[in-house]
Amino acid sequence: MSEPYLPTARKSKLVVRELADEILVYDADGHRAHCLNRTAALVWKHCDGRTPASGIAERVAEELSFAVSEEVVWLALDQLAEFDLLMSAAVARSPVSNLISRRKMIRRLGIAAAVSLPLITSIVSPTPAQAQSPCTETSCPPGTTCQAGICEPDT
Amino acid sequence: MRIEGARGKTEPTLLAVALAGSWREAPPEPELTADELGQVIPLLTGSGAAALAWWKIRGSHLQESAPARTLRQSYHTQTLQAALQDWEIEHVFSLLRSARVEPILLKGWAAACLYPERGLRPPGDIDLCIRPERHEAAKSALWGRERRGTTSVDLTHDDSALSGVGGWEGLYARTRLAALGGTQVRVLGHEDQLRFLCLHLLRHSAYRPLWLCDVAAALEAARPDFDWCVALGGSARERNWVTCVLDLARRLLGARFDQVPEEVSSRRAPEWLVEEVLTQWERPCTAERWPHELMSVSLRRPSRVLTALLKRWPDPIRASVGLGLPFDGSPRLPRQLAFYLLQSARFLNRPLRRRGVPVKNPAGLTSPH
Repeated sequence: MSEPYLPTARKSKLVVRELADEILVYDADGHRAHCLNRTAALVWKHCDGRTPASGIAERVAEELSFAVSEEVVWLALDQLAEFDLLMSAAVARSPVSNLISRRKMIRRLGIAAAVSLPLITSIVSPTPAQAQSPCTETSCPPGTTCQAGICEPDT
Repeated sequence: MRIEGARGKTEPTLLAVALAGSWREAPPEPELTADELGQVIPLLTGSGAAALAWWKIRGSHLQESAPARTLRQSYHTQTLQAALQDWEIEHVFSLLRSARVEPILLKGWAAACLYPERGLRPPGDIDLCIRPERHEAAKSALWGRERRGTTSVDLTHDDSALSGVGGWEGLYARTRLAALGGTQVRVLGHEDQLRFLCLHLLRHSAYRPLWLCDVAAALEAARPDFDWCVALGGSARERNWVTCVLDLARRLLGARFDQVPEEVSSRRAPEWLVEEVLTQWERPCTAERWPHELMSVSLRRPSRVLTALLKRWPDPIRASVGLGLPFDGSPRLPRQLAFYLLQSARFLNRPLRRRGVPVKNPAGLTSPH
């Protein structure tokens, strides 16, 4: 019997911000940003390299206070691997992911339960801020004068 | 919320309704429809107030609406932007402290601390206040080889708005230290921050609703020991300006006046000021407000001179502040004309050489001169 797959969350070169019901991740390597819903975030949190999918399912169920199947965890692992958030790809080792897609699972569980399925979405990657204030009559450096928002040289 | 001084449901009044109370941990229910929200989405996103609008509508009947998706996206992006800017602020503070310069962080990051989450306010420049005698040392440190990152560092601010009661010594004595990552950054005292936010808003004609949200958040954060004498400033003119902005925050965004003394709460901004701010909110996006062409360049193309002159006609807020006049019931047109002539005289008084090169570089540091 083969060794169980023990997924490990990638930590390096990521900027992570936890919000109330989701986690935002900026991948500095690929300059991509992702939003993990609560289920995906919890699965990712428990990818400690020591816990198999079945164990992750138990822990996530405990935190969400409802049953979470191993299938759901594999669905999350597939997405985490796709978005490069795991140390090694889970897809090849998943016993179920090739068989059950998210859409099929939604059909099986019903729309109401679908909100509990893991979901990772791409978001617009942060760019340098463009909120620079224009100058005013008194804010221009010495030797310049404000001309409608721009400091023009006056010597 | 009924907006005093507003006429009907125009885009600026919808902006005000969308943002009223948005700076609070638990904002009030939004009083607008999905269609109305959709109408002001470009103004909210373009002016940096989209994340705040999302904060207000999340959990409401508008949360699942189509416009809400755009707002949520801005909230996510801004949250990550804010996180990415943290290291750069830490780095800039470290560089300056190595050069024995102790800066005070203004506006962006410091104002964002007034909100329930930092990502609710868009990060912009790194605005720093430096003692005048340490400016050169600061510029050397920031222009040195060790500087990393891409965010603009702005060292030029209106000194008169900053200095306030007790001058620079008083200002520094009232500063606070705020935790940022592994370090502590210096920010203005609560009173100085409120005054500075009010004066900064006026100097830019109050065109971004976000700035009035900053003021409202700072006002509602005032604790019982808040020193109103410091917040209102030393001169009668500053007191007039600050109290008028506070009244704008109350009338346009529903800011609470619980902690405000009678002397301040009894003061009302003139009606024209309320109307003028709403007019300014018709164009709340910074990108739209740049003149696109320097006057010196326009003068070389006669066909563009008239347009260039018209574009530089000052609004009454800018004219009043530029001339140092209080906001009252006096006619505005003479102020605007006087300020326009003053500006023209300043322009004509400048030597004819070295014209046409903007000094403030939107992508980098403000050039030293």
